[in-house]
Amino acid sequence: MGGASTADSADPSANYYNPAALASVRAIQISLGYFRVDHHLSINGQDNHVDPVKGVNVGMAVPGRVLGVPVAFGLALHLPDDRVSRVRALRQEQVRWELYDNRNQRLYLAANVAIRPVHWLEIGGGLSFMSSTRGRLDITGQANIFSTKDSTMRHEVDADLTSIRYPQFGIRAHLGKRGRVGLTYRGEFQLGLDLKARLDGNISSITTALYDLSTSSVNAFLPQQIALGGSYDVTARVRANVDLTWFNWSAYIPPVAKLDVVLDIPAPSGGWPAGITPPAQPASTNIVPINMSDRLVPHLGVEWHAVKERRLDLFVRGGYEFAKSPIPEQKGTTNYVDLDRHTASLGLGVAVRPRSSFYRGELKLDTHFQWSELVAHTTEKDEPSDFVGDFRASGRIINFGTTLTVGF
Amino acid sequence: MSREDAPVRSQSGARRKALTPLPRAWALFAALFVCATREAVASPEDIFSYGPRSPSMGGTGVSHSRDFEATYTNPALLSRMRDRTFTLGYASATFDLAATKADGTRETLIPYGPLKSSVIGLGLPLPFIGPLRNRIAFGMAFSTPINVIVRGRIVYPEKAQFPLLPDRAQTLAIRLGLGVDVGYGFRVGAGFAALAEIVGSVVVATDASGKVGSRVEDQLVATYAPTFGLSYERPLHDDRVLRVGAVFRGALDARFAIDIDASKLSSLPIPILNISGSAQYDPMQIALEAAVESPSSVFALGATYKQWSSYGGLLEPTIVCPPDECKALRPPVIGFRDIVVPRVGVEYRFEPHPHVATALRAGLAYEMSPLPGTLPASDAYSPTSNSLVRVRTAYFDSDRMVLTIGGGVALKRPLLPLKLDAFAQLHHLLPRTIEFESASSGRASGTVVAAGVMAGVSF
Amino acid sequence: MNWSIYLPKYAIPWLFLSCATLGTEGEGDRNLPSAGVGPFRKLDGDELLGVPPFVFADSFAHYREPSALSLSETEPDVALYAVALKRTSTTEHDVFVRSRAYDGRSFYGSEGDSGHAPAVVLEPTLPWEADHIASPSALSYKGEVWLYYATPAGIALATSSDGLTFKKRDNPIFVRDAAVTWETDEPHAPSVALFPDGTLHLFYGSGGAIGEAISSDGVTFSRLDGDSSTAAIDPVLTPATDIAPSQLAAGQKPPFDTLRVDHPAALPRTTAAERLHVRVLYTGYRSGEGGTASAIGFAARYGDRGRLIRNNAPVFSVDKHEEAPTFFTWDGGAFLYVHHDAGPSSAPYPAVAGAFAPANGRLQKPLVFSDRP
Repeated sequence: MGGASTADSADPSANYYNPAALASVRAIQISLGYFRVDHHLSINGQDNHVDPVKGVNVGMAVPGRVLGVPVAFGLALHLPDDRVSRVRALRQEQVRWELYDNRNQRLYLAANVAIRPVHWLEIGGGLSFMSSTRGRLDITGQANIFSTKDSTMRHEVDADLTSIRYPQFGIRAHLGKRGRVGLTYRGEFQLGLDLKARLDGNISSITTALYDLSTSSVNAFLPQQIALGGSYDVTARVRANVDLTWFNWSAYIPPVAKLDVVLDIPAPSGGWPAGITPPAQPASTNIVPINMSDRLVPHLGVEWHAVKERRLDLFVRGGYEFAKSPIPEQKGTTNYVDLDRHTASLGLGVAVRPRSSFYRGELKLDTHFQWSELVAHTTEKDEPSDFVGDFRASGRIINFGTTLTVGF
Repeated sequence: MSREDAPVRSQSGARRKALTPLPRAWALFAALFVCATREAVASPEDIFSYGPRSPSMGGTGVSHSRDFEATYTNPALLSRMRDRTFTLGYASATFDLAATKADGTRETLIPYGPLKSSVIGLGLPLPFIGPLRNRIAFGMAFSTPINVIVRGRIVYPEKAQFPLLPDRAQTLAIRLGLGVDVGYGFRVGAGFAALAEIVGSVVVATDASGKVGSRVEDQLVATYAPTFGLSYERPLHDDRVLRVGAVFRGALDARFAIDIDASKLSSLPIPILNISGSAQYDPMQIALEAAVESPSSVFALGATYKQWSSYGGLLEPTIVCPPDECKALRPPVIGFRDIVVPRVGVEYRFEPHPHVATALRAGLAYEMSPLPGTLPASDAYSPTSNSLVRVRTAYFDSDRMVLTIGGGVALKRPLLPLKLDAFAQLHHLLPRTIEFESASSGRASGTVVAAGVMAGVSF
Repeated sequence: MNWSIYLPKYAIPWLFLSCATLGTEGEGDRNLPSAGVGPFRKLDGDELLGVPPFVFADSFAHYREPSALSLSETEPDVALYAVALKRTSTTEHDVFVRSRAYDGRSFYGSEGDSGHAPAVVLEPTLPWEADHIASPSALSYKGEVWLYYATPAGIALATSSDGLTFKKRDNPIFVRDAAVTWETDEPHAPSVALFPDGTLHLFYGSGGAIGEAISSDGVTFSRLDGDSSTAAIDPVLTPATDIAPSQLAAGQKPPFDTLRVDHPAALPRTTAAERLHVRVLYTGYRSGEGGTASAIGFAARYGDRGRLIRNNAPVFSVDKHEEAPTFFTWDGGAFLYVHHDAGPSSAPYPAVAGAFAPANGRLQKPLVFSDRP
């Protein structure tokens, strides 16, 4: 549906699109799905092998009543195949697909509650969870520069994964029997990575060494968003949705490691052995601001109920969205690559309502396919002595997924 | 008394016998489904147990849990749930630990702060009909310290510390489980425990311009351990039921592993540093328990076997190489001991009002220390003498006598279907002398006080 | 399938295992764009057959002032021309030798390639060469190898159809112009590059700066002005202005090329934006407490003429008197060759060291040296 679901969710996907819509779920729904996003992103015609995003999706919507008022609890989980999250801090000069390279390599876990105080109004909200890393490493001992394996060093660690919670809220109103409007707010999110390492020891008994490294960065930044959506049943079989999402990209913090190093290695009294050049005190990182711009992203979606019978439904869905890149032209020393993106999506769904002796719910199987075409663009560097130089970026992103939802 | 409080009445006697036992394939499917969902557990439950009832009943529950806490105690018993429940809670623990030298002076311990954690629980009976009605339920238990998800503190061994107690509690605990009533008094269940561990690398190099270039990559990867539960129940005379439960919990080991490569920083050959260790560890466990349960009381008696002998210790070598090929330091090898924890718990229920059910609970457990009585010395490099020295491995721990009490109030419809439960625990560390190689002995003692409240709503 | 057999044997033990996700290291940094000029990192022992970082070394021949001639766009197949010390029982003088490496690193006749010696391709034989030739610059042009080189009389040219046997021009082709005030010594250290428009551009050192000249035939060169805003012919690159230590930020290093710039190595290219990009590596010198220090710098411009803009950071610096860069690029990266001190610090001798970009790339250990020069 091109992501146009703020006013139109009645299943566990409401945990993301609009938690308020959980309150309209009539029966327990548990969904299990898998999706994969392949990035075919190239610079100067060569694929940069940006990692795919792939993993299991689990969703749950549990309706009920408290003192006669409809309430619901929802849970959504995206668990990547390889990891819970990955934070990666690179030098700011390094070329990277800023919004695709690493930002999406993380778990999404959200828990929501929703209530329907009056029949036309639903309100919901909840929290998403993740963790940041902060730690201190201390290494002491003797580094043997003549036989590094014989270095007599040891370490201690004091590292925490600290919890991060960010909020999301939604509201949805039913306008008559055919129309709905919804509004969703999703809070800002970022993963921090703060590591301090201290090496205090001696180098093969010829001199002492103090190496104090401090690295700090922010990763996986997700800007706060406000999505406004409408949904209208054009006919009994056709539904049209439209969303407009505001992304607060201007608050974006790039994942550049701020690195501070203190180095103190006095020269040995007899000078350094042949072939050995000690490291010099390096300069600190001066991070250039990325200056991204806020963006409004429109989404359009249409659903056609091709078959609508008592025990069988068939759906066909289509959608489109356009996202203009929030990253400015990279003419200077930084190389955050991004492009404007057109996305078309197609979905097929089938719902069956069997009448067996032990189960009388609804089984629904949905598949989706998305094709994002990135508008090719050539970056011209201001400085001819830039180490990267001019480059032309292009690409496409292909997303495929399927979800089985069991309703009770 | 709420519907879930009714012991087994609805499925006892002739009616239960009339049900067709579930095919073995269903049980297998259920177990595989839970395995595929991959969720979590960690040490706070291992120390304090988990949920509204078990922590106040000496950590028992393998044979009598009846709500989301069964995801930890015994997932088979999730199938006893009848209402959808959503629970929020708060738990706290303080550690007053003491280590003294042979001459009676106190050691300076590394600082241990209190544990403050929030709890979320979800119980969800799946509304199948016919032969599957009231047989399958799903549970989720989520507990996290307020600010920390995983605490990974691996300090030098000569610093006086209780490595198996306070920091092990500072970790996220997530569990997911599914329980199935297969008929004939048998229930089976399975779940997964997961924890996040850190792996990563820091590569530091100076480029030609003198700038320190770095590539920092840090990943949280999930580590999983399975849980399997089984219970069997049969009615005794009058309205009492005897239930026997068994649970297997796999070992859960969350490491911290960061490689630091500064070998390209200069022409100075610096070894690649393996900054690794065990941040959190729960041993493999097998628990057996029996309970006699009536509408007004529960009495449970059980024991938990914990295989600590598989624990490799907190530390890993900083320089990785085969032992016979280099002189790099190696952490001490400590022979942790397997232990058995006996537990007993009681619950008394009464109804002061037709719409109010209350319960009083108490329990006792005795947890032996897996730490051996004599600890080997550790190697360290002394900058003052510019040589290797032997230092003591100053680990402290001792057997714990755990006293627990608690209670609960449940409102029933037409009132708001709310449950409030509270527990308190006193862990008394029995004074114990530990012998250190290369140093005089030390003595461990102390108390741990834990308490928690939980509020759940049925909907 | 008989479940009673397979379940106990395979499925059930698996269920009891604790496990974890893999956390494989991510990608996304392959085939990244680069101007092909570093920064370079020196080659290490796992990437060379000889003593790292040297690719072309001999404690007697003292190979130095290399010039790389790329022989393939897709492979690091390269011929290297360098100055070598030829010793006889009574005399010694410099000659040019040629070697080759299919992998950019394992050069024929280098130390370790026992039984082989690089081919001697040019010796000083003409009177105006005064028994001294230096700084070869090889160029593939009109199906031949054209070798420009420095002599006491100016810049000379020799050509060859096979890259091994050269025929010298009778006279130097480019000499000092007294009207050009900054050329205080004879032009030397030539580097000649073929531009997309078919012209040949000569970059040369003189008077501590780098000048440029253009030719349509590779023989007759006329000087280009580095700064058209003045009436005089200006160099295209001059030393950087020094910065007082008090004005440097913490940890910031002063410019590395404040004393003089020399030994240009030019390689033009057309960028992804269809712009002519003239890339020049050079040796920058700076006076320091321990004498004169050197590092390899990078300067460039867009367009076929004008001043070169320097990058403040050197592309290669090991503090071992590194000089005379030459480089080439292929699809897999770029190799830089310089000569710098080898051997014991008490008696160093020059040898050609190798460096590679992108700096985070790794090269596989070579198996054999090249089988021909």
